[in-house]
Amino acid sequence: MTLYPRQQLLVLLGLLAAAGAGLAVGQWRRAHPDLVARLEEFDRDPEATTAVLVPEPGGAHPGRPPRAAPPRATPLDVNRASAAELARMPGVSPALAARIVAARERDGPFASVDDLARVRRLGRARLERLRPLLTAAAPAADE
Amino acid sequence: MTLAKAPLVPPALAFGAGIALAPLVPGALAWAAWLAALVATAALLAGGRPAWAAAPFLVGVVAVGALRLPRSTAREGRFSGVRAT
Repeated sequence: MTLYPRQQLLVLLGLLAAAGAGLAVGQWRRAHPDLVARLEEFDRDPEATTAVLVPEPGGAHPGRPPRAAPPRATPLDVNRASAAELARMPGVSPALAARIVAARERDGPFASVDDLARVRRLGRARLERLRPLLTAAAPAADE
Repeated sequence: MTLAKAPLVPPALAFGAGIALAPLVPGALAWAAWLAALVATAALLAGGRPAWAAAPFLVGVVAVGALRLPRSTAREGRFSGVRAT
């Protein structure tokens, strides 16, 4: 007795191959989260990521050639930054920036940069890369 | 009930068996079984033996069921900043 005709088996074989390929991709993504995060940042403009940084008072650093956009900056305050500012940080998509702002508004200001871990889908590796660029200042009493 | 009326019962049972076997089957073995099943099914179909090809296909479904769940999970917790008084 033939369980399935040839045409049905061909379709089922394709589905089986696709399912396995999907599982392999998922397993590879879980095994290499840093590489996945880097690949997902390919479409981001590196110049745009520095434009958000606020220049320090006093101007440019001595000995460093002047650039069109001042690269040196103070860290961005996650308790005051807008979603647009956050979205210009390296590795922060507009969706992630919106989730950061939503978490801040829903659960209150971030106590520290580590507190960003409460934002959904903000992984430890990405947080470590953002750490030097961010700060979490305590909000003023009237805020 | 006949197979003609419920043709997806064998793959469904195979998939369920794979999920049940997942804790017992090493990942490498499941991947090897999936690949071997894929090749065997394709070879039997190419050789004009569709009646035999169903068996390795179902083995492949078992392997996919076993691979379906993540092998490891990362769980992270944190304390909220609110102090209970």
